[in-house]
Amino acid sequence: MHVRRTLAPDLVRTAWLAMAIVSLPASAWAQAPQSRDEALRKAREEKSKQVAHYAPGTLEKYVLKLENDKILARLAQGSDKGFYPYFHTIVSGSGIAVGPAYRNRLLFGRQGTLNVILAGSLKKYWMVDGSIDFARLADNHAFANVHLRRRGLPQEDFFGLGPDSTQSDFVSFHAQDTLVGAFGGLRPLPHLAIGGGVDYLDVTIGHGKDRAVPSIEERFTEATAPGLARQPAFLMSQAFIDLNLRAPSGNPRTGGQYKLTYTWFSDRTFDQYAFRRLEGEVQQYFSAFNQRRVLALRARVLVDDPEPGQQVPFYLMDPLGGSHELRSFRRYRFRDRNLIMLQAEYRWEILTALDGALFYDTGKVEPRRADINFRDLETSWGFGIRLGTNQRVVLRFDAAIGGTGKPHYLLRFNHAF
Amino acid sequence: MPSDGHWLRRLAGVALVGAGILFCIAGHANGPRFFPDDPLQVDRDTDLDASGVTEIEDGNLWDFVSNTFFTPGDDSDIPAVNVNTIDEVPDSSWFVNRIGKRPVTVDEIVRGPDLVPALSVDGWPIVQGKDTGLQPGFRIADPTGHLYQLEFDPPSNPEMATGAEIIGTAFYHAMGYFVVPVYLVEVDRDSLTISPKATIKDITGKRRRLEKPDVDEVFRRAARQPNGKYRALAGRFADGVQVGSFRYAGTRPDDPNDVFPHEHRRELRANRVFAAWLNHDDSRGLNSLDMLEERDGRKFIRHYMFDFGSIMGSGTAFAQSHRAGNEYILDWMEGVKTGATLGIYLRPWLRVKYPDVPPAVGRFEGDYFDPEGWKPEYPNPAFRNMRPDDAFWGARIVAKFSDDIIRAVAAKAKYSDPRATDFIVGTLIKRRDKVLRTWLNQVNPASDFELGPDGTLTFGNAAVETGAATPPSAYTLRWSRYDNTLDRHVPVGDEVRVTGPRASTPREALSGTDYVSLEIRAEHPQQPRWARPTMVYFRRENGGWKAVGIERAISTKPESIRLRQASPVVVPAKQKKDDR
Repeated sequence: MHVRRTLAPDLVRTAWLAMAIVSLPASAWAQAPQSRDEALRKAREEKSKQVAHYAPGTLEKYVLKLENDKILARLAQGSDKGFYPYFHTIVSGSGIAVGPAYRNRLLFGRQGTLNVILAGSLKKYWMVDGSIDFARLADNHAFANVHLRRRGLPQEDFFGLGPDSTQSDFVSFHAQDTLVGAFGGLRPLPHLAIGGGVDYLDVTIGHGKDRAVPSIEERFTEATAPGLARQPAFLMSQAFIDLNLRAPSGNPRTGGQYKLTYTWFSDRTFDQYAFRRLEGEVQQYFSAFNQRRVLALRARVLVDDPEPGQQVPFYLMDPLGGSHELRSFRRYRFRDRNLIMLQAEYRWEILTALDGALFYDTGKVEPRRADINFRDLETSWGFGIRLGTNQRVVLRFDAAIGGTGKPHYLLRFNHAF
Repeated sequence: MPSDGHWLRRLAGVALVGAGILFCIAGHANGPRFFPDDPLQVDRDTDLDASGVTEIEDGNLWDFVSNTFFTPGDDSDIPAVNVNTIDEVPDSSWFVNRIGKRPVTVDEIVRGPDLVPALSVDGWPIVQGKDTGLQPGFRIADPTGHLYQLEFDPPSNPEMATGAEIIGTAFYHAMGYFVVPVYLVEVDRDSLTISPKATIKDITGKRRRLEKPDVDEVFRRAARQPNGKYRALAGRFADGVQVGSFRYAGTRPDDPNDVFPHEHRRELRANRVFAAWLNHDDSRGLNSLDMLEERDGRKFIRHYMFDFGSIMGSGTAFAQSHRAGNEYILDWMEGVKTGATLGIYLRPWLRVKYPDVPPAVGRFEGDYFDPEGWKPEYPNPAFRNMRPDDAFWGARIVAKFSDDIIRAVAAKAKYSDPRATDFIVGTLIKRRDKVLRTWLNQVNPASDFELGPDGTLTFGNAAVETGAATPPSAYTLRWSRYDNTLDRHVPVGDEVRVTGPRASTPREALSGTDYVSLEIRAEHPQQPRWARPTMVYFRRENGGWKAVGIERAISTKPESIRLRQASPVVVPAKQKKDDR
């Protein structure tokens, strides 16, 4: 007896080989190149049969259009002359206002810039604003500006006056104002501006349009909200001195700013609401590790001094609370004649164009100047993210806690300070 | 009598052997390992007419987005595809061997691409504004109408950007790249004229007439000299028509001559070595030119390196940032670490203390510099693909820039403060030496092989000759006769150990063969990578022997040295939509 190996596996193997040889591509049997130069030429000739115009992908097309049509640059700095879309808030809490705007930077041989804006928001805030600005006169040693503005602010917040105003007194009021004026000044040194201005201001206060809260007249009177019953026209005269050594100015990491402003509000209608305002502000920036770590400090003090027997209208009191000061509180949470505000913010670079921030705001308002001190201050603290360039912050997100106990989230298109 | 099964098994065996022979032939249907014209010295990549090419639009933002958030090109770990059989780059429309291959005088290096010894732009009218780049400037025309671009230094750092351009142009020209001629000139603002046809693109992208305020704006952002004039760089526009810039990945689909994917071109991969040395963090496709030229009735593209304003300590419009060369613009891991630790984690480069130097230097140093850790602004596909053999090639070119050459090139920048020149020279020398120590030792640095008619082998050691390493304790050699048709080595004799760069070839290796191969390794206690084998091939020619093949292993695996194929080394480029 012998073992019979099956032939099938051998035959199958041979059959596969035969098929493989027969099925070799014809190019395998073609004339091989005789030189390296020839081989390269053949490769290029092969390609020449398939050349085609470059076809960018969809994403590439859009990104190239964004850049080569200078869309981003136009959004950032705008064209020298022409219409552009306005896309910004009118005041804090107005919501984004949109509308047509016109700019002409070529006036008087590029010395002057005309700007006209018509804008409105979904919350029915609106604005008409026109100005001619001369930012750099006399080889940057002088500046001037004339302006005209009219606004409708239908849902402004009010909580009453004083440091002890309560959340439960939250009301809204409608304000419509007209501002016409001019200012100008000198720059004796590159970072020092000294100047002044005159403005005509006419404000009308009315029924608040925020349906979620009562209107101001339902909770407050002339006694508890001076200027509620009637609103005069004001002539505002102002003088200021401003030493700005912040660098870079739009997103500072070093230096400081020291500013003093004196304004006289003259009641031209009733002679009941005239007052003088003195405001001082100091910002100081300390940086380390090639300016990648920044400690930003800010202090602001404001004192309103009414003429004897007169009042400061509530709507002209500088409020605390909102996206720039005491960030865990609603906008305009605290109002009174005098104010002190202290802020500290630690900023660190996470990535190029992205900074993290830890902040601490503290301050208060008081009816009496003597009570402006460091006692009984309201506080808020939190963390945030800033997106921007060396020259400016374009997006800021802050999560603020304190005071009310509830976190307050903010998304803004500018720096806190 | 044999059974039917026995005959069938015999038949199967014969068929198998026959098939094997046929397969061997088919496997080399594209040719032997070495052609008669190997090693190729010139890649004639201008021979096919490219008149069908059209301009390809490009932009900073797309270049940044595509390279930061995507991975364009092929990232296979393969040898560079455009090198010749001795691992060198043939001359082509991309690169011409200069300092790396032939003796070049200091004067020649300093002169670079300049067409004239000096240039005066007095009386040349302004014909166009400058729409691109950070540096303030405009375009002027010489009396023949040829365009030049004038660029100025920032007021914060006079002489910085113009000096960097002068130096960068001279270096890159000497290395072998095509660059445009650039000249230092002095501009008298009051004597400038504006052509009535001069235009400028405004912010909307529309062209309008260029006016005096536009020129005033340029000078407002330019550094003024004590004599009231302005130092500027005059860059001569390249010949031909610009059809875009080249990218570091893919190939141009409209250019029949462009068959090597750029991410696998040796001279683009090894540009990482040059960029690290000179701190050219702006090495990207946008800083290049594809110029369509015409010759003998045929059009072809010449590829230029362009814009060296952001090298060394210059960031063009400001001093180089601290991040430059140390980190990508977006480095996610570093961002996570810094964010999560609220800034307590400090990037190491934040601690670097830059010396107090003249403003013309910008921000530049050589002590912290780490060639392997160096990074451009954002990922570069060719840099990503750089292998030790690419880096070795580049480092050998860097080694040719002696101290005297560096000093002479720096002098061309005419810094008014000699401290600036001294500092730049010292820093470039320091960085050069680091580059050599890093990249000449990552492969076996034995080089410049010669085999005499009498069989005497001599060779050099690129690392030892440049001071990047001490000599090895020994070299081990293994000889073979080589069959170029069958790609087969027949070892001859035993392994030989020599202590110096000289040896005798066994007679049996040289007789009866047209090709000889040598596998060489080096032993050095501090250089473990020297043990990687290098295979050298010699061909009998004109009574002697010529080196026609060099393969450097980048790992110790034996198969890694058999990477060359007989067929043209062309990797088919996949024409993806967002790729070239």
